[in-house]
Amino acid sequence: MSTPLQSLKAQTGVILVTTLLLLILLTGVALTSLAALGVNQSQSQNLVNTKQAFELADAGIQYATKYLNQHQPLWSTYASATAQTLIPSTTLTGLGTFTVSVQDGGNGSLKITSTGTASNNTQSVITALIALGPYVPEDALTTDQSLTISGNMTVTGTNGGVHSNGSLTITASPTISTNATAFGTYSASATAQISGVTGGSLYDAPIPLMHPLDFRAAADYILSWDGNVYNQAGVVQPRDGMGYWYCWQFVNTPNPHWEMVCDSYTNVLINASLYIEGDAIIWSGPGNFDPWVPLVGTIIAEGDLVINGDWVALRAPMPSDGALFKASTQNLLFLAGGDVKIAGGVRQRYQGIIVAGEQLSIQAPATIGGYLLAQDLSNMSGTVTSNSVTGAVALTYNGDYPAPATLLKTARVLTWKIQ
Amino acid sequence: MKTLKSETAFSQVEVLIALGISGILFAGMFQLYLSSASSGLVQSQKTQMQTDARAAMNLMAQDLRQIYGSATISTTLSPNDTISFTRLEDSGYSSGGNTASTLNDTRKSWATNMFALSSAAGTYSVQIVGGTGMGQTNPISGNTGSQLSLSTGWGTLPDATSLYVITRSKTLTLTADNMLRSITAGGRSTVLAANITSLSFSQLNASTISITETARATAPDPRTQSNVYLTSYTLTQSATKRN
Repeated sequence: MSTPLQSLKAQTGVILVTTLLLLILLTGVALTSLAALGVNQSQSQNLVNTKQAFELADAGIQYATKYLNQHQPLWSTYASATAQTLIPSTTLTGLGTFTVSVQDGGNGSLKITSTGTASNNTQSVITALIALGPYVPEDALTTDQSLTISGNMTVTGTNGGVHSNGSLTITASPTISTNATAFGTYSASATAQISGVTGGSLYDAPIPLMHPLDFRAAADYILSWDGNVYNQAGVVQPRDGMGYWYCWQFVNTPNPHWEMVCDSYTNVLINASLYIEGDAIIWSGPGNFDPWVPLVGTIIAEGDLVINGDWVALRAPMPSDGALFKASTQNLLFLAGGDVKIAGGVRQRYQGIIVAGEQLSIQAPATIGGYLLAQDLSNMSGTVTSNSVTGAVALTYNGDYPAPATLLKTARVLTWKIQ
Repeated sequence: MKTLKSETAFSQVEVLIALGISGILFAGMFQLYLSSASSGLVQSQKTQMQTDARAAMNLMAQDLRQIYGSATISTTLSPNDTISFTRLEDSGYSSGGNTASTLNDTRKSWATNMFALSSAAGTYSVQIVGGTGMGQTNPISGNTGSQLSLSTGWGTLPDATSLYVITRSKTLTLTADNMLRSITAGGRSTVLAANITSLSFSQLNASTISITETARATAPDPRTQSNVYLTSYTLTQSATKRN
């Protein structure tokens, strides 16, 4: 008989085989679960790729729309029967690429096709029909040169943002419902509440060119540099005993200009569109803030337009106003060849488009529905030398108030479809 | 030196001990296997449920992005919501030369009768949304590569300034059998996902709709064997229409 020691020695071979068998069994179990995990992972990865491809294609459509907006003179070359490349393959690092082609869409429109390619060659294709419509800015306040916001302004609405084609500096605690962006540098205080995109070096927003003279024919009355008020027929309008024409008077000092001084309870006012040859200053009085009974009309000044009072309520004419409304100046409230300064005190409310040929300054806690533009064409008038918001203005803009059709147009998506 | 022969046999006691030890080992391993298999089952059920729910969510979001006009949200099977909307299928400017019962667009190369009425695809309609003849809607009876044939005639004949959209009316709803269905007017109802226990829509703003759905596992957790508590999964996504 063998000793136990001998038999243990003898069994080493069996244990080896058993261990190997066990290992194979365990490896099998492990591999099966790994394979199942692999299937789940590739399913998730496919889902991620599909979503990324869609987002890339969508980014291509948005990019191409902006690009077409900024290259409107080239539309005729893009309107070919066969597709041509508009945006060559563009890489978004870590996500994938998109390319956009363009062709004629009929009736002045363009059809763009954006292909997004994510990892593993997953593709998504979106087509859209783009057309030019009335100018609709993306933001409630757009300036062509630098802008400083040092007042606690509140901007609301779907297009409730601010943009500067120069630098944008925010030092106070404004509340902005969409974007605060700049083509130049961007800086904001920690207390600024901005819900959308922020940053500098982004894009150069198109601003339509608007010269007062182009809209002179749409005015009901001309407040002339010679001190008289004329209608379009050239007939001098009568004044009251104090020399006023509906609260407006010609003032010679320090420089000849027109001033509006009135009290809406005692003075007779007129709803009309005015063209002022020179500067204009509006003191307190016209219209009623609450209840909202505004004075209606478009005010166009060749020089500066300054509001220096309180209790000012004005709005641009609407189609329901009958003859007061003119399509060539639709939704236009103020247009100045020089600066626009909204100063003065409380109870100011405006509705319409406010455009400064030079700089824009908002100092009053006004309530404004519509949008503001500073064209920054020059800086000759010293009334405002740089664009600024220092007042607690409440500005609301929802992409409404379409500009007169003769101005710069905006490219917009008519229809959009995933292929 | 010992011979191999003397080492081949080993005692009964030794075999019994070895069997006993390996039996205990195997019993332990089997327990381990059982529990990992059951948790694997639970896990794969969960994965299946989540994958189904996400896939259905993506299909719904894709539909909602292509809404033309506005959607109607109603509560049908309380507290669940049903959404009805018009989905854009194609669009363009007519190339002109239309007759009372046709609409031409030479820029297209459609597959023949891709817009014809069928029990699977439902009814396609063409709607003039801009230019001459704006506001008219007409069901499509068939099409060639660049011409739509219409069931009824135009009142005002569209021309080359007419912007048209081809649409289908769709409804996304949850039925009492916990099926999330997509129903096309004039067509078939498709099940997007099974075992969906709740579905709700809310209009966040004029163009964005938020979707919330809850999916439930198909079988109870084998570890608890509870029929009352089934694992569920809720997800929310918002879709912004681009038209």
